[in-house]
Amino acid sequence: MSAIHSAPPQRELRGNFVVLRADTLRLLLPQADVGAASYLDQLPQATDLPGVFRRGGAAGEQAVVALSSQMRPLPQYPKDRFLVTPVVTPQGEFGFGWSEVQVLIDARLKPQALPAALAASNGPLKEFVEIEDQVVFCCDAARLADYALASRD
Amino acid sequence: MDTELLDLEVPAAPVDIFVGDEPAPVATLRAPARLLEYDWKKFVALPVHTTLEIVEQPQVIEVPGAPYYSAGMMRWQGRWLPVLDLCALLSAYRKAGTPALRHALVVAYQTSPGQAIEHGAIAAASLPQTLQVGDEQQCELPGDSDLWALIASSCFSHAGTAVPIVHTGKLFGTVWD
Repeated sequence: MSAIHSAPPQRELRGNFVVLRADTLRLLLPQADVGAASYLDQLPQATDLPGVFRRGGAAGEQAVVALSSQMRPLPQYPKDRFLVTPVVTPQGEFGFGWSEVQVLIDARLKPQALPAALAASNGPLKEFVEIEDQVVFCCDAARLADYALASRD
Repeated sequence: MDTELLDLEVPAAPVDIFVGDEPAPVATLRAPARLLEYDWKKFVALPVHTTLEIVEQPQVIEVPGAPYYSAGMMRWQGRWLPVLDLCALLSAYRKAGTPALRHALVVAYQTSPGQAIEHGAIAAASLPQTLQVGDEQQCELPGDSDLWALIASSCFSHAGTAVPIVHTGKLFGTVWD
């Protein structure tokens, strides 16, 4: 068979990842970018910064953000975001509230490029994977923070 | 011998004795087009060879950070297609509270000759219709958006409104940041 006609091997993502769900938004981050998840025992309190909430705890206060399905901070903290994971970002450590957190150990995933018409040059997402028939967007802590925190209004 | 001319009443030869034998007048050429309602009572047309399937109530996945005119992506025949909201693109913003997509028209496009054929989908407010279009219907592009000149290859008048014919390659082959 001619090499010209053989399809290039599909790239594979291997390693430990975390699937984070906020409403219909599903993100795939390297596990190394995400700290241990903890449960909220009460809703975080609003701060002077729109979209940023404050959570108290034994280890001190933590800033928490809850994302919309468009990856933008929500002005009100939804009750279903009872799982918080710290994410170390260039802007500092933020807690992000999720509805569901799933850890994938030694996973092998096949990323697909977003359709070109959807991949804005300054967009945070370029690829996605399909896990159990769900679309999960590939991201990392820096891009998550850059996009989510920059779009805070 | 007297002769009497028989006053035979001979029917006059028809002047147009060959009526029906001459070549028929050249019929106006008409071409089929798909009429797509992209907003309330606003239409574009697409060449039929670029249109493949109408998907009713498509399940669209929102893509964070995608251009404002993107409705998201939808699965079609084992692949994921971008779904464009022409109304948002042409008005330069997405209407708040845009209802769930009712129909999507799957189209084929080439960004340039020789390139592989790709597919996308356009949000439609109602079921697309097919109509025949003739050269005599050609008219100027509407003046409500500067983008018409960039995405339309021509325009025709239909039911009193100007209907641009959209070039799918130009529409999907450009990121309209």
